[in-house]
Parts: sequence; C-alpha cells; structure tokens
Amino acid sequence: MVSVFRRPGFIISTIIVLFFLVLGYLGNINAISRMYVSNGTDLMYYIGIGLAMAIIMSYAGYVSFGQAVFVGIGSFSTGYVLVLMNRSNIISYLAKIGSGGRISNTMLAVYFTESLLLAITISVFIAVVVGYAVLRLRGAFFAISTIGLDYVVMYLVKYITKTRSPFGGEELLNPSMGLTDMTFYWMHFILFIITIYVAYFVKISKFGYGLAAIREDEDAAEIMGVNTFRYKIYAFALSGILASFWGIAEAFRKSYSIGYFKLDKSIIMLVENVVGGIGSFIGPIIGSIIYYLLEWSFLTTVGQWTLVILGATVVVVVAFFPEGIVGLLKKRFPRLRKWLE
Amino acid sequence: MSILLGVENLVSGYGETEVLHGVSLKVERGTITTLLGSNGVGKTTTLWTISGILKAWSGKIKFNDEEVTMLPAHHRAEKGLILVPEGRRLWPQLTVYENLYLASFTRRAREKFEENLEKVFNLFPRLKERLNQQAGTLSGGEQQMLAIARGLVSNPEILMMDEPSLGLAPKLVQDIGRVIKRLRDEEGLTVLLVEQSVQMAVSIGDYGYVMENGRIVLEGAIDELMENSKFKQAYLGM
Repeated sequence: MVSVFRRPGFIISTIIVLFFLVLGYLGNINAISRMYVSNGTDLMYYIGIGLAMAIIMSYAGYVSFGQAVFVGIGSFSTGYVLVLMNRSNIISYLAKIGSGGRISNTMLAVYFTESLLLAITISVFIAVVVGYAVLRLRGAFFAISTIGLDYVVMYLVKYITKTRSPFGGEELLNPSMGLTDMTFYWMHFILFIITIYVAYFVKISKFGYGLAAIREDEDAAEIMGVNTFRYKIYAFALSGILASFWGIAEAFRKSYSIGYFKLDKSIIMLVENVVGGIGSFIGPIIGSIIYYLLEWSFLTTVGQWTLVILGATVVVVVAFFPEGIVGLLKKRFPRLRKWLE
Repeated sequence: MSILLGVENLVSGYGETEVLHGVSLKVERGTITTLLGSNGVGKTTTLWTISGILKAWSGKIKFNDEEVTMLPAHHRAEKGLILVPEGRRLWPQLTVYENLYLASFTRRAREKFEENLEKVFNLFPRLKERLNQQAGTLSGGEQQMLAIARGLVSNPEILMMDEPSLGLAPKLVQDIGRVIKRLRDEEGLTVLLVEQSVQMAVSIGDYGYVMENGRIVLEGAIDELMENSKFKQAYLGM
C-alpha cells in the first residue's frame, strides 16, 4: 500500500487547500481581488456541504433529504451563542472598544469554539436518536423519512427562536462585531481544512471500506461481518457534524435564519453528489465546484431563472450520465481511474 | 466426530409468511453436508436464518456449543459462521482486491488475511490476474470464484454455500465441486452446501438432508441416500 501522503486523493485535497490559502493571501489587494475572496468563501461552503453529504450519500449510498437540518443546527448554534445567550450587548461593546471597532480574535475564537461544541452536541444527539429509528429503513423509505426529520426540527427551532428572540421566529441578527470579509474567509478556511481531510481519511479508512460495502450490497456487508447498523449511524452523525460546521461558518458571516433548515439546502447537497458521481471522494468535490460555477454564472446572467436551468441540468446529468462526472471520466479515460478515488 | 453446527426446530420466514416449519439439522466438523430439494422449499431461507440476516421466529441455532440464535449476523461472522450467498452478491463497483480486503473485516479474518489470500490465489490463480478489475466486470465463473474466495478470506469455521454452481457451464460446475472437495480434504473445512446440481452435490457430499415444503423429509449419509429408490427417482431421475 502506498503511503497516505502520496495517494491521489490526498494530493488533490492538498492542492485545493493550497489554492484557497494562496487566494486568501492575495485577497486583500484591491476591490477585484476582494470579490474573488467572496467567491472563494462561497465555493468553500459549497464544497464543504457537498463533502458533508458525501459521507452518508456517496460513501454509504443512503440518500438523505435531511442533511439541511444539520446545516440549520450549526447556524442556530451560532445564533444561540451570539444572540440568544444575551451576549449581544457584550459583543457589540467589545467590538467598540477593540482596535478599529472589532472584537478581539480571542473572543471571536471563544464564540467560534462555543458554536462548534454546541453544534456537535446537538448534531450527534439528533443523528443518533433519529438514526436509531430511521436507519433501519432502506432506499426510498429512508429518504422520505428524512424529509420528515427536516420539518420536525425546523419547527422545533422556530418555536424556540420565536419565544426567546427579539427578531421573531425567522432569524437572529448578529451583533456588530466589526469583522471583514477576510475574517470570514479564514473562518471558512479552517472548517474547510477539517472537512476535506476528514472526508478523505474516512474514505480510505476501514470505516470507509465498511460504508462502501454497505453501499454496494448491505446484506453481503452484514454477512461478512460489518456492523452495518452502527456504521450507518456513525456515518449519519459524522455527515451531520460536518454539515453543521458549514451552518456555523455561514451564520457568522450572514446571521442565522430559518432558511438554513430548508429542504432546498439538502437538495443542493444531493445534486452536488449526483452530478459529481456517487461512490467517490473526488466526485462530490467536482460536483460542488461545477454546481457553484453554474449557479454563479446563471445568477449573474439570467437571475431568477437560475433554479429552472439548474434543475434542467440535473435532469440531463441524471438521464445521460447516471454515474456522474467521475463515472463518465472513468469510462472515457481509464488512465485517470487511479486519480478519481 | 463432533457437531459444529446444530439447528433445532427452526421456524422462520418473510413478513407474515412462514417458510420454515421446524427444520432440524446437524453439521459435523470437517464434512460436507448438503441440503437438497427443489425450488422454493426453503433451502435459501434456512441458510439466511442460520447466518442471521433473517431472524429466527423460534427454534435454536447452536454453533461451536454456543447458542447464537439471537446474535446479529456480523457477530456470527466474527465467530466464523460465513455464508456465500446465492447470486454471489459481490460488491460490483469495488475491485477484486477490495472485495477480498473487505471480506477480512472481522478480527478473526484480519489476523490471517495474508495467509488466506495466498491460499485463495493458489486455488483460483485467475483472481490474482484480475486483482484491480471491478468485480462487476468479471465473467460469471470468475464472479463465483470471487464469491467463494471472499468466503474463504473471511476465515470461516463453517462455510455455507448457496447454489455456488448457479448459472455456470457444466465444466465450471465440476471445477467448483472439485474446489469444495479439496477444501475439505486439505484444509479440513466444514461446508454446508445448498446445490441445485444434485449430481455434483452427491458426488462430493458426506451427509445429505432433503427438504420439502419447509421441512426435512429425508436424511442420511450420501451412500445411504443413493440406495433409497425414492430419492434416486425424485432427484437423480434414476
């Protein structure tokens, strides 16, 4: 076996990470470069949620419409830490006395960590409780039950925010922290490094192989000694934790809103995986990049028609390349095979 | 000879439908025991219930003097109770090597992975040539070899094989039969064989059970069965 650090997936991950690192350093030059920083932040978010979904969908082969719940939980955790804990005034005050009207990095790190811990705790709790009930189901039955999960948690959180928030049930506006786009970029970057390497190491671990066996034939996996039920719950929870990270990142940047729970978030994650190709690590990354590029170019040209065109694109991909882009590349260019882990 | 696997009054089925109405059988260590019968009498259901994928409704399954009736399938695999399922059930998108690697998922298999892999390549040199090929792209015979190889790599105490000759050319059926015999003679492997090719089954088996409608109706050493005119008429057309 080749050393992990020389495997294609690891090399590709590292190249992508380095790309974002360089973009971040070049970012603060002028107005145009700052626009690219904003694009880069979005792109990290899209790859991030795609890879979070990949663990349950691409690796284990379970289609979930419920992963947006975890993005929502992440953003709610940030909203909870920044707003609902009644620290808004403290945070705004810290920002005022801080250099240039900005809260200190130490305090930011504290709030960031608190959000992470809260999000991980809630995500694991929900994933285990819900997973215990619904991961006994397979295929379409599982997928449908996760839609229910989405709505139940969304209304639960809506109830909490409605009774406790000064902004009503739909959103929690962040207090002024004086943060710039560059700060948000680096916060995304930290979570991006964690997400991409966790996703890759899961893929090549014993755990990842077990998930592959479940995806390909679950009964056969069980017969060969894979504890399929436990593996599925672990995958569901890990996918949830990673998804919640991206809710946190976005909520620091744009404040919490109920929109993070909405089903279309799940569908974006799902589309990224389908377009890229189920069963691989590279697939969801490619799918996310393509999805982001398409969405961005459509949004700037055709505006409201974006969703229609994206929908049509998905139909075309599923109809003509059911194995996604990675599947297509593998067929056309067998020599690329080993790079498409 | 000691009994490795003992099944007593096993009742099981799918949903509301009872398929097995009290099956009892014993498999002695180091022998090939065959389970015969025509289509739809419950042979596969018996194996799936013993392996744990299907839950037993009632009855007892004893393996190595230990009751395993309530254990989940992956725990039974950990104890060396391995099923090579009907229709191969490989992981088609994964390569031959990955299929074999994954078959060593249990601790008992992991410890002997290299050794068992060597054995398997001795038995099926063809698989060694196809190591990096996707399992789904192998020919039918090769897929069956891989299915058996996968069973062997998981380091079985008993290997239950469900229709290993299904859909294979007569010559390949003979080959598979020879391999199973060799495993018993050289490795002392215990086998519970379900086989539609009765000719092959009786040519390598030591003991046989005949099933009809979810029950065992006839049993005996293969030599005895061969002297039973009813059996010969029904299953060998003699």
